Amino acid sequence: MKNHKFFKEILADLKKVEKELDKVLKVNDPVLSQTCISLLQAGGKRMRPGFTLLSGKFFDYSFEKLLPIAVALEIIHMATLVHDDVVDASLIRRGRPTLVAGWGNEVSIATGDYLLAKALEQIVKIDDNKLSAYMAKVCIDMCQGEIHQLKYSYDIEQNFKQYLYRINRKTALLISLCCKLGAMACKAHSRGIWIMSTYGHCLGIAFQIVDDILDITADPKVLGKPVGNDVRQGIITLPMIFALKDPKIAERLKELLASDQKTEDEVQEAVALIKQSDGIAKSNEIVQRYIKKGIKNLSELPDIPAKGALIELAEFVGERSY
Amino acid sequence: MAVLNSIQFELRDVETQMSKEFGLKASGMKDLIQLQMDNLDQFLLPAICLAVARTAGPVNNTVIALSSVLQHLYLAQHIHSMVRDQEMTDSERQYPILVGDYVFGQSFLKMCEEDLFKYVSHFVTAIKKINEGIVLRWRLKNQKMSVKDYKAVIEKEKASLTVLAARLGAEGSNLKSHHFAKFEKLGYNIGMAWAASIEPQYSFLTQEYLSKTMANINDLQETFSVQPLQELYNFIRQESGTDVYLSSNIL
Repeated sequence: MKNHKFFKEILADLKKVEKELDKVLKVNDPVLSQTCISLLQAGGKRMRPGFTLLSGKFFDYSFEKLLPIAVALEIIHMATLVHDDVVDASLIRRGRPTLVAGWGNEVSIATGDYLLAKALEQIVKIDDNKLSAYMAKVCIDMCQGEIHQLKYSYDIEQNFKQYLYRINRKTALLISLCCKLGAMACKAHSRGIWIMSTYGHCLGIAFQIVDDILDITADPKVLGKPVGNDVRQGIITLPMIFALKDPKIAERLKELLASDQKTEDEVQEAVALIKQSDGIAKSNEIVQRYIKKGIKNLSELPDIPAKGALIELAEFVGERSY
Repeated sequence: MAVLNSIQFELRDVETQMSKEFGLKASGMKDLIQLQMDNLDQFLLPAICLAVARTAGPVNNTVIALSSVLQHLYLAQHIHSMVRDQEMTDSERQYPILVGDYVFGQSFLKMCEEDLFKYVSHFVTAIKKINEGIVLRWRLKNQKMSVKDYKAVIEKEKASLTVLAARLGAEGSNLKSHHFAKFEKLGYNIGMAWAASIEPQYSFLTQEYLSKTMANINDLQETFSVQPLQELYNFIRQESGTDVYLSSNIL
């Protein structure tokens, strides 16, 4: 569990969430037990439960109500990561071998499905149809985002709007949901729910754009996975969309990005071309716009320590290098 | 499904609900994956749920909704099972995972929308068991599987769902709880027969479990109107290609 400095305000409760995750993911099956333990040990930022708990702080904070929501959201996130790694055939995540690298497709998919059942078990504890239906809808939308991404891979004609549609579903909806449900569970008024949901949306969009930038610019050791993955898989991201508009490199870059049979040299050539264009700078500008918008939205909320944490978190998302 | 006369209208309701909810916005499911399902894959689980409910009288909307959720869950698992460890092309691997997750999400949404929360723990138990079964089969894949091991695998992989189907049919139609075990036993034997009928090397088990199914039906006829269960039995026999001489006087 990293990011302690942002979660100072909720650290004790976040530790309880971690403990609950340990408890919930303790299973009898010898293989599923190992796969679940390795997922827990891989850590992760636990940002989603963090957002849920911090959101609740602005309203009638009730950890008992927030706990199953936070646990369910983190487990859903874990399940999607496991399935994403099978989709992308990713062998490394967070600097460690993925489940699919160690156990193969079948066990990884079964683990993801098992985790979804565990999430469902937590959702029952929430005992609120409306909250649960929001979670279900986001799960469906996330799949649609991923399907959209696959359908349009290697399609260099994609524009900013299509990119936003995809990353909203792929990433932003779940972060927005974490904030929204934290507020809803703590009896927030409708404006409060809207504020938290919008903050989460802005942060989620910024988070994914930064992820896409880091896939081009990061140090693989710091990032914990190889760079250039999006280029390799034909996923057209925002830095690429901007870079493709640069007349000096557009022709060659189009050729490279549209090809589904790239050599490793060609992947590195495409990465270098994107880096030399203004695609990274322009993408960073968009990130900053979303970060500012997200922070601005919080201005209506009372000045409590949780607000400072959410602002710092937003700033961290804009500046992160991993 | 002419053979399932007693529940044909209800089965059509379930089918309608399913087809309404399958529309993927990005594209139709059929364009994304090459899904192969026989009649048992398509109808057996809802048919068990509906037939059990029908033994006690008219089928209510809760049972129809439960049948639809159950079939959604089975479909999600069935789609995920298309992904194997062996080398596959990217799209052969990628779409089934995402479409399976999508269908799983839809079953979850349907549980919320139809207010089926009191049944969720049953679904959770079944999903866990199915995946334990998948992992158990994976663990045994490089060994010659004994009949005992095979039964342990299919009990989790398939029978957990047919037991659930029977339980939901009984519980959803408000039968008294002391009847649940008998219907669950029926569901178990149907599931074991179904699973064994798919794998030729174990098909000898199909007949064993169909006979047990028949015994279950005989046992239930003292209390319930078992015509829908007899039709269900004939449906499995017909679709699994098993020709069993039935000496029971109820047929």
